[in-house]
Amino acid sequence: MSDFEKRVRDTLAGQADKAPGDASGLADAARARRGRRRTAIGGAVVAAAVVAAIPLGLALVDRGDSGGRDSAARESTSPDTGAADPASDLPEIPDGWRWESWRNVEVAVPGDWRDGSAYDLCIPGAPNQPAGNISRDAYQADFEPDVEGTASCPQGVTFLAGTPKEPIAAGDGVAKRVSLAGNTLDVVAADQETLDQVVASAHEITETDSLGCAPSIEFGTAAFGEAEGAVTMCDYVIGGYGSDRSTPVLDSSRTLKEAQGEQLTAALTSTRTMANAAKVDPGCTLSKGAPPVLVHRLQVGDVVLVDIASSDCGGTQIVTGDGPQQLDYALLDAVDPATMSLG
Amino acid sequence: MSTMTLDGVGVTDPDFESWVTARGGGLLRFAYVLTGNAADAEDVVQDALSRAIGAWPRICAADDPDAYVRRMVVNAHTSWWRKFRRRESPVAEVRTDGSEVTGPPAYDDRLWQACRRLPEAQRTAIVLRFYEDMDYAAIAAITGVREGSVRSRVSRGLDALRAELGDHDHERGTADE
Repeated sequence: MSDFEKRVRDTLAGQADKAPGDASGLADAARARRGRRRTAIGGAVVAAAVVAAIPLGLALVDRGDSGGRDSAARESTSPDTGAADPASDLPEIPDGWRWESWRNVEVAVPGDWRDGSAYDLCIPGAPNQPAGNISRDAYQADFEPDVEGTASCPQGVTFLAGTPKEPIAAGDGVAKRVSLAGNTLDVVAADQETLDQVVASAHEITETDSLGCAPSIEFGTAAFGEAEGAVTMCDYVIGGYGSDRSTPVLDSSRTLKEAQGEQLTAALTSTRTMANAAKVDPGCTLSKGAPPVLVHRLQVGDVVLVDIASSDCGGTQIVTGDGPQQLDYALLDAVDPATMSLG
Repeated sequence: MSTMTLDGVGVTDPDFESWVTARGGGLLRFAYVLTGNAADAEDVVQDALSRAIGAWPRICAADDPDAYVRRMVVNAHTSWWRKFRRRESPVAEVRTDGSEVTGPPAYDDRLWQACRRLPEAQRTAIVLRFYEDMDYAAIAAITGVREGSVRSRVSRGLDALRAELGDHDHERGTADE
């Protein structure tokens, strides 16, 4: 360690002494915060229940999955909207498998491979570790099982934009790197049959993925409306993966669990149209150098319910069939991934 | 062992309580150097703990709940949601005692302010490397990026600090050691 690095270390250690010293109330404060979060969400649900006519008329379907953003949430079931089933042209996959999409590609994976970074899922000693993980470019995970002591999943798919320089690591399993439509899919499986099935399922998304999410959208511009059926959340990123500063590019998609859908439905009922909605540009263009913005598009079949951006991006952040909506923290909390995964 | 229920979620006490009592101070110190100010430090620690409560039995079952919660603090700090809600940019320390600055700040103060101005990813890597004394593999695991990316972030962060301090004559870092 150089003198300068020692100076950095000593400076940080010295500054740490200025941290709040009293930790005695932390547990109570954490409980109170959790209570507020749950109360806010619960309150929104109750409020929705007393509304005689639910504006969006959503009837949510529980897909029976157990996790937050993972596994069976993407098992395909066609919503009752009369819309074309986007899964109808997909190749058959083994029972219990599901589809995972990213940018303009989609691949089938075993149901016990979960979506998330290896550290989230496979930190050494963590309980309920999945058989594999699905890692997207922004969360590149080290799932090489031969790196002992680091977070790793023994199997998985890593979506990467372009062509990585690093070689793929198979660990104790078998691996294959797939180049598809400008992307790279690194697949590691425990056995050859599983590897072959995953690789064979990989395909380019030409119109929509298996849940009806387009590979890219225009924020705030869609056939917004009301519909009944299972709610799909299409997640997009603006400014990520080397894309431009205005086009949301697909990051993932899933069908919401009933409770999650209820939270969102309730929150949507409480949104209010902006007073100057007619003058607001519903688009979303990042300023130069701005960090990427996440966009959630909730839809039922091909009917889009709402577009929500994680940050101000030049226009408005929430757009429904009623146009640009005022910022609503109950709605933002309802789509907070941390709340959805642990709340 | 007594058990209480919070909002319908079973929370086993005193495990959570005693763990926070024992580790809370260290978490706050870590969060302070990570975020750069006391308010955000308390905020991210409370946020992480509020999410940990619901999963506490599972977290306790992990070999290293300290690492798990520390990772939650890092996640809370780097959460895009938090970025969205925290719009302020780091500025120099606000003086609350009414005193005037009478001379140039000390080297360590300048270094600290330079740390606070680092891009978030670099600052997180620097703090984990030099405050938590973690190796690159551990930092890669906790931040969810590849080890090479961590090395790059640490190196770039150190370069940025040297540049801000006009420390061009200092020996180049030996961060790989």
